[in-house]
Amino acid sequence: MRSRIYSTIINIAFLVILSGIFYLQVLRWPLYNTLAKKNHVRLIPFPGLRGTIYDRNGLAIVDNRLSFDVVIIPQEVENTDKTYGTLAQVLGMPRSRIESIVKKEYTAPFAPITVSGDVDKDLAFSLEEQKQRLPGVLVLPRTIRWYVYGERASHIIGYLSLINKKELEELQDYGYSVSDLIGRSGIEKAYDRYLKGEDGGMQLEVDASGRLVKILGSKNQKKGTDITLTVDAKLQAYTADCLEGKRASAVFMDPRNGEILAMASSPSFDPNIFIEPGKNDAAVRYVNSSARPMLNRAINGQYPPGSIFKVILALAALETKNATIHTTYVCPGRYYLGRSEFDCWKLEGHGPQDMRDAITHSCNVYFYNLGRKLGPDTISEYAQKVGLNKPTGIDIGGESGGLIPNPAWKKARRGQNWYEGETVNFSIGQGDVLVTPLQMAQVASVFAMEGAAPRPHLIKKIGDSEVAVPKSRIIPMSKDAVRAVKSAMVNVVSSDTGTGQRARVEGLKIAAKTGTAQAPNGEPHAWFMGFAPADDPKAAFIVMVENGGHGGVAAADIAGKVLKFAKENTDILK
Amino acid sequence: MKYEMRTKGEFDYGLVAIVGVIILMGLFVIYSASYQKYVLSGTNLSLRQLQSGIIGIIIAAAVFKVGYQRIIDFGYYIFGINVVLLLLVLFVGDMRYGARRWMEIGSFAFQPSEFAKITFIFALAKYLGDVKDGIERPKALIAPFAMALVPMLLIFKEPDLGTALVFVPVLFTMLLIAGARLKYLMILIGSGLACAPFLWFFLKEYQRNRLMVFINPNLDPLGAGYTIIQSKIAIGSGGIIGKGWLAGTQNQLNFLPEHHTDFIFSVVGEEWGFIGSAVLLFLFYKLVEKGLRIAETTSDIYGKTLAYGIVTVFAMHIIVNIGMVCGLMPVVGIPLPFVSYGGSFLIMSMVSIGILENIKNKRKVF
Repeated sequence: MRSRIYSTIINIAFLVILSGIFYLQVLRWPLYNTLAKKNHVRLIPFPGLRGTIYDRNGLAIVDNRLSFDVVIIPQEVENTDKTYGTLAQVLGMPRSRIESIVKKEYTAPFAPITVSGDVDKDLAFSLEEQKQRLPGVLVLPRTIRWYVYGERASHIIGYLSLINKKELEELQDYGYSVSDLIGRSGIEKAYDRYLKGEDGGMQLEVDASGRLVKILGSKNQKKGTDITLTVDAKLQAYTADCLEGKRASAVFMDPRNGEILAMASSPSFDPNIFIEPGKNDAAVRYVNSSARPMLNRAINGQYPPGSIFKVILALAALETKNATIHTTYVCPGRYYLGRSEFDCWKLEGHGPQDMRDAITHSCNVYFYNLGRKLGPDTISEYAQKVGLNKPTGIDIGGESGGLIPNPAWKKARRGQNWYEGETVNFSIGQGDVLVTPLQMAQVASVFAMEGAAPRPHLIKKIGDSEVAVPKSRIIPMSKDAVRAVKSAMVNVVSSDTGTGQRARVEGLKIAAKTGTAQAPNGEPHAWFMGFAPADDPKAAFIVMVENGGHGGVAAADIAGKVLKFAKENTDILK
Repeated sequence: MKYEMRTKGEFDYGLVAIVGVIILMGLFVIYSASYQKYVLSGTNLSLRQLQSGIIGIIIAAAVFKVGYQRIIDFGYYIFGINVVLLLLVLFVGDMRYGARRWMEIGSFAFQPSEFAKITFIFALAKYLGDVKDGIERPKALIAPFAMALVPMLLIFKEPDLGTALVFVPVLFTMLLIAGARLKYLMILIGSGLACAPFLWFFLKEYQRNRLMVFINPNLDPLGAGYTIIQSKIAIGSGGIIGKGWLAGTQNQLNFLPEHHTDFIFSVVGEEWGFIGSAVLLFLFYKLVEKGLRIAETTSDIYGKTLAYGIVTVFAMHIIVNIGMVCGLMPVVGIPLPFVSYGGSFLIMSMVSIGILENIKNKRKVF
């Protein structure tokens, strides 16, 4: 009896053990098999670097550089108290912050937690030297995007940020993955799929202490395609420097083929800041700033053109035979339409002016007369003919189209008739008319090339292959007419009574036109549009300074400085 | 004592064969479990185990020749010497893995605690045989308890909780078989359980952790719970047919601690799968069954209690060891007979088989 009890207990125990083994090995095999694999197989990603962006002369504008992250591996920290204390001291951040980072980012005891990203190189080295005293603290090198020119080229280049969930769903098939950075504006956005590198990785077998046992497989990472821009980095940097402290933009472009040599907008932003998640505050400050540093004023700023519009009127009048170069009007300083009075900017009047004089002195009364003779439809037609009222088609996209009004537009849009007074305003580039600086750079090119509108673009080469230059749009026009306007534009700078004298550059013949446009508040906007050398144009330009004041002084100054720099330090004008 | 001269002279070849197969399997598993060590340092643990096995055969054969009855006569003395050794080991023992369990004599190291199990059984068998029916008196139970408590406390002190606990079922089984009154045994078990919570205070920190972790291994996945989690992963990932000899990733890549000693069954599970584990478990079952058959069919009270004691030691080791590596029981470090690496335990186990065979051999003929 007693031995029966005993053997029954033994039998039951063996049965329980057998069931336990069966449960683990047969029923739960899928789970434990995955766990075993996870245990000994590690995936080490090799991020594929983004392509480098070069300027037209092969200088790197955007590159990749080594950065150092300070990380903590929780299971290897021996003395938490001492480690956090020392780290707080070395990194100059409060201890509580380190603690909260570790708490927030903790995933597994062996998974590194980044406490501080991209630390100073000297700091990284000194931490590396103290390695023995701080077990569990590591300095990990990582390659990050490096915007060499920072704020000075950011509107062309754009910036990167983490891909979001929706984009990931759309782009997954193109090799994008969770932690990828994606271009948000400029070249980084427009050419993202070329610049993006292909991630590689290695599958390793490791033992219990994480040591490498063997390599199970690997795939090499591939760097993205390098891109060469039409931009001259030195000129770009100098132009950006000239705009600093103002709300302004400037475009320098090769009128022969539409290559953008420099395109700056101020205020600007530093794209390096968007790379580091820790610097979110700075990025938010950019977005919320009333000065709108993220706005590329060169392609998205829309303003009335003011007097630089007059050259279009002059061309239209000559072409339509409504005037000759000798047609003369007397300027008494004001112009009457019925009982309304329109002023010339020179209140004492310019006296008798022919077309060349009127352009040189930017006489309003002359163009009031010319405008009324042409009528709003003809002015509008010519403005659109030289490329206004629609985007220029620059390859970074997202640009604004401006607005060229006419009676039909007003009727359709506002249900109102066109007033004669509007024609008077329209004649000097005021009223409803809006243009972007880039559009006016294109207009400058049309005059420079005597009837060929180039398509502005920034890309020169993708990898080693040249990108085909987009063909200029040919605008049929009388060569005599456009040359007459050009010679008047030369006078603007060279004549001692010209409005653009301040842009003079020793040994360089510049053709230009100043502009002053009424701003809704504050000082008027200052414009300066032109090209150089006048006889063999190699650079067309536009400079626009918001609230820059009367007579185009502020804008002409900048254009002159940049042209001088270009002549002395680059081979653009050679 | 007068010896019965006329015996059947039987020998259980099946039992020896089963033990032989298990030891052979064990040598292969130890080779695999220590393969990385072998590659690195040239230390072949399976060869050392084989050496212990040969010594074990010699001692077992000697014990078989001498006969259990003669040894029982000296039961108290042998047990007494063993207790002295247990006491000594606490002072002069070799410290390994944070415990003082090993006694060194020249280049040979052994664990007195492993032998204490068998010497205790001999001493208790002698006592039970001597008092005969007197065991029904409650007073007769005092001596057996004292005999168990002394080695248990000394072994507990080493510390080796697992080995110490083995004495409890051995004691109760032998008392039960010897005819102690169930009522008294129940009272003792009951009061023992009532005292259990107080034992908590005598446990070492790591022992408390092990118990906590048994309830929830994820409490401390890299500390106390690590071993049990990794062991379950190893066994579970073996599946039905296993990953193959020397091919278990958990074992070969060192995710399993102590995989050549207490946790060796997880290597069997990982590399040989459910088929391998079930075959091994079946062999163990047959071993226990054959041992029980010998115990049941022996009418000599000395031999009967002795056999039950030995079978209980085997059954405890098998059930508790496999139960713990599968996560069915808390981790108490006791090895798997004939498979776990370790000379003292292997020799002790083989000697126990020799004694069982001797008991069968010396059965009285009526």
